Amino acid sequence: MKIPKADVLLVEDSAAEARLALEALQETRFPVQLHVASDGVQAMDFLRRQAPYQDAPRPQLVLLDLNLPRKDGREVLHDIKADEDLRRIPVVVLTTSKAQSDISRAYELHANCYIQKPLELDGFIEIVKSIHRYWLQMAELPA
Amino acid sequence: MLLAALALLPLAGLVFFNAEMQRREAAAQAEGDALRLARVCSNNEERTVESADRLLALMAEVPVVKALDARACGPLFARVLGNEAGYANLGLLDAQGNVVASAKPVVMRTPLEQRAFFSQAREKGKFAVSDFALEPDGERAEMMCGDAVRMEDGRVAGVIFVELNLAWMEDLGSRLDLQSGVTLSVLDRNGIILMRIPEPRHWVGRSALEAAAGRAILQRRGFGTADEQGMDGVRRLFAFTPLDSRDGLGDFVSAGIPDELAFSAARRSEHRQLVMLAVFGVTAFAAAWFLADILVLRGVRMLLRATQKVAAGDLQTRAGPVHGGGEFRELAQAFDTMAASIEVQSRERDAAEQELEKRVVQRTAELAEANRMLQEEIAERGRIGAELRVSKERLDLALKGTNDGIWDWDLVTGRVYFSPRWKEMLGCAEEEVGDTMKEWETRLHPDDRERAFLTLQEYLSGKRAAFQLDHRLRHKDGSYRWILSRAVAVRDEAGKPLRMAGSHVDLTERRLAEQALRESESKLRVFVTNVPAILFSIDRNGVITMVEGRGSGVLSGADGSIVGHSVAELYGDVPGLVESVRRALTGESFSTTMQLQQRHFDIAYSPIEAPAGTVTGVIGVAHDITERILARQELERTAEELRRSNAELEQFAYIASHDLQEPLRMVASYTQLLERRYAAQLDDAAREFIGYAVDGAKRMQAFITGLLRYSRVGTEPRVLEEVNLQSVFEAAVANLRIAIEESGARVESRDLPVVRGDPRQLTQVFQNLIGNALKFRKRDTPPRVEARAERTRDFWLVSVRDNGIGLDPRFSERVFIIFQRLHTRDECEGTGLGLAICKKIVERHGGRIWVESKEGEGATFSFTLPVRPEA
Repeated sequence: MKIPKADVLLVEDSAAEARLALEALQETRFPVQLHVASDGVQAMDFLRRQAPYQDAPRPQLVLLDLNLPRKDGREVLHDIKADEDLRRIPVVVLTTSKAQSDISRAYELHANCYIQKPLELDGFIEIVKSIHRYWLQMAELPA
Repeated sequence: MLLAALALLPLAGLVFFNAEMQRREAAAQAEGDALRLARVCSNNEERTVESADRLLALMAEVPVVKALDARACGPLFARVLGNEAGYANLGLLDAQGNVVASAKPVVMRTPLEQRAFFSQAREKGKFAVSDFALEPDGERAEMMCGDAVRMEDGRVAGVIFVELNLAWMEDLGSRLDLQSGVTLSVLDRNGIILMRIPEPRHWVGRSALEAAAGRAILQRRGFGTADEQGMDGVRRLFAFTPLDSRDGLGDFVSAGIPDELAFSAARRSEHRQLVMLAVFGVTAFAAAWFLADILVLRGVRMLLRATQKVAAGDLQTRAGPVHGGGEFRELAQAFDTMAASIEVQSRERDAAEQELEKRVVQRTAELAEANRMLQEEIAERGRIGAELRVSKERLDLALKGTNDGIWDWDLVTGRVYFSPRWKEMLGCAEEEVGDTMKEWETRLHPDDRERAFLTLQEYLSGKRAAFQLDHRLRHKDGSYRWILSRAVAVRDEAGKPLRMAGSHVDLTERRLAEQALRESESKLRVFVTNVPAILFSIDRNGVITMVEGRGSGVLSGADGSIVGHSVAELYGDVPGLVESVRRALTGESFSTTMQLQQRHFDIAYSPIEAPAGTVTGVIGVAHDITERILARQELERTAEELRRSNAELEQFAYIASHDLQEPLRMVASYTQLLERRYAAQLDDAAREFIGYAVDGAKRMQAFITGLLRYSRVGTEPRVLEEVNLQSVFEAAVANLRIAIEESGARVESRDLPVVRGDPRQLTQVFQNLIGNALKFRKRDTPPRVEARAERTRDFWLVSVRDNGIGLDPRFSERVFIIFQRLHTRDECEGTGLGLAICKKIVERHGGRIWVESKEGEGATFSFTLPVRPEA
């Protein structure tokens, strides 16, 4: 039986980061379809299915970096949580920042979780696994 | 007979002359007495006015008086008046003449502000008096003395006054125990009686011009004597003098001694002498008659005897041959002729004899009478002398009472009377001073000599209207006393001085006090001139009346001074200054800052208020705060720079925590991905290289994190709260749980107190210290860490002791410096930041940190935390 792939939107401006996330996901072999938006504007267009994303699926999870060009991760978070259609999608902030101000700000904007990316690959793979296990397997999300 | 009558004439003349001499002497004595009496009064009055002057000068300096504080002044005046018996009232008027306060209610016929003393004291700003005026009841005369009360700026705020009356004269009268009929009166310039003893109530208010005596006093306008009828019809010898010789107020004091009293002795003596003369005259005439009778009978008897002798044929006579018969008639005629001749001769001889005899008798009687008269006169003189002694004693008593020395110089005889007090003032006993002007001359201070003689000379010659001399006289102890000498002269019609009498007042104490005051004022001036501020006052028209203080030079205008110029004229272009002065003139006290000629001033204004609530001016203090302002600006600039630098650091910290970590992550993660994906193709060397790369990235990350933490200690807002060090310690242990378990360490704490501090930072301190203890442990010994605290007076001393490898004391300073490491990376992991962070945290808490150790014998890290940290 083929499990349908879960759609996950990764908002990340660094191609290297995005690639690393993809590679880490491959290491887990989870059935996840990773969509990448390289800035906040693209991310919102994707979520709202605006050109060129008219056919974009509604993701089950958003992985959001904070520092983005054009539209900042915090604004994206605010827009998602202010949007009635989008606010139910869990948003996991995934960033290298460990600044207390960033953490606080993210939760104030109703981020569902805040995770700092570790330095080493093993740690990162472990986090990707955890996210998958928790948000996509354990947690019951609204349809 | 004629001869007898003629002989009486010179005798009668002698009697009258003698009486006149006595009369004159009595008059002179009475005059002297009266003059002394009048002088006692005027001295007393001068002294009263003088002490009023002193009292007022003193009172005018009392702060509550200066402030015209009505509530405080009332009781003060009442108290002062209670102590000063000589005054009828004491009070304070404001500049408009309204009564601010007074010891007793002020009831006056003429409003006070219209009286001369008020206007003079206010305009001239010094002591002034009004002449005596009758009070509304017409029974008493009062006199006002006033003195200006000055504000700090020297302007007159009001006038303080005392009311004097002449009640003291009644006391004086009863003290002197004046003989009946003797009067003392004070007249004003119009001859109205202001005071008279005895019976003041009967006489006060009446015009003395009704009587000849009063007219004479007014006519002479000063001093002199008169023998005139007084108002009660009694003839008296009056002596009079101005009540106060120093001013031209025109009140006179007059003493009258009834002629009856003055001349009674002389008159009694004259009367007696006349009676004696009469008795003697009658006797003389009787004697003359008797002698004449005897002379005739004798002549007859002598004729008879001669006739008988001749008839008896006296050979000696020529009649012998004449007794012949027929020629009797002829003989008789011859005899008659002869007898007549004999009779004439005999009468002439007898008359001469008689005259001689009479003269002897007369002379004897004269001598007897003269002797008797002499005796009587001696007795009389004795009586007068006794009376004089008594009156002199009284005078002495009075003079003693006045505290002034008195001198009385008779220019005719050159004799001078010096009162006991005069002598006492110079330390001399009664008998140590003679009775000539030499006594005064020889005691003169050499420097005052010329001036003293000149003053005296000018006064005696009439060049000088009043004699007043401030000079020094040598005291018996060799020191010099400052003496104020005042005197008046009695002159004859030609203006030639006959007599000069005056008083001495010892001013030495006052002079010393004045000198002390001058010194104190000069001290104050030195202070005021040098105070590092500007003191100023401005009047109600905005005119600057005073500028003092060391800073005031800055304000001086081109012509040197700004005093006398208005604020608007000088500083009209300075924003807000004129408005500030105006605001202060409305009665508001406030401070403000102002920029003036490139200088900044902090100016405190405070209004000067009259009791009525009107503001009469403004005083203020200006501090030059230019340096302070510049320093503050500099400080603000520095603070701003610091804020900017902190903000930049924050920014850097953020970059460090995020942007710097991303590339590191890429290096580490992709290197590891490489190893993971291509493990089969890699040899050991490649794997080792990958290991170094990842390790480098990790160390880089550790440095970044440490630096971040280190910088945050200084930039994070300081939140001090009550912190239980025990909890903090336990939190640190919990954070290090894995390392502690791995090393098998025993970590303990004892007596950790509650302090004020930042719990997160203090946790960091313990964590770093314990972490170090675990890191630098001895290879074969399980680590032991013990934290304890003890209290000194101002600090908690917290120590963390371990049993690790210790360190060389040489490096005990160096370990706290950032990035300074004692060990190679191969020996021990570490960034060289932990202790630097500890040091920074402890110092931020107001404490200090140090280490005591020996290599190989463990280390004790100690730090202090203040018991009461500064805010």
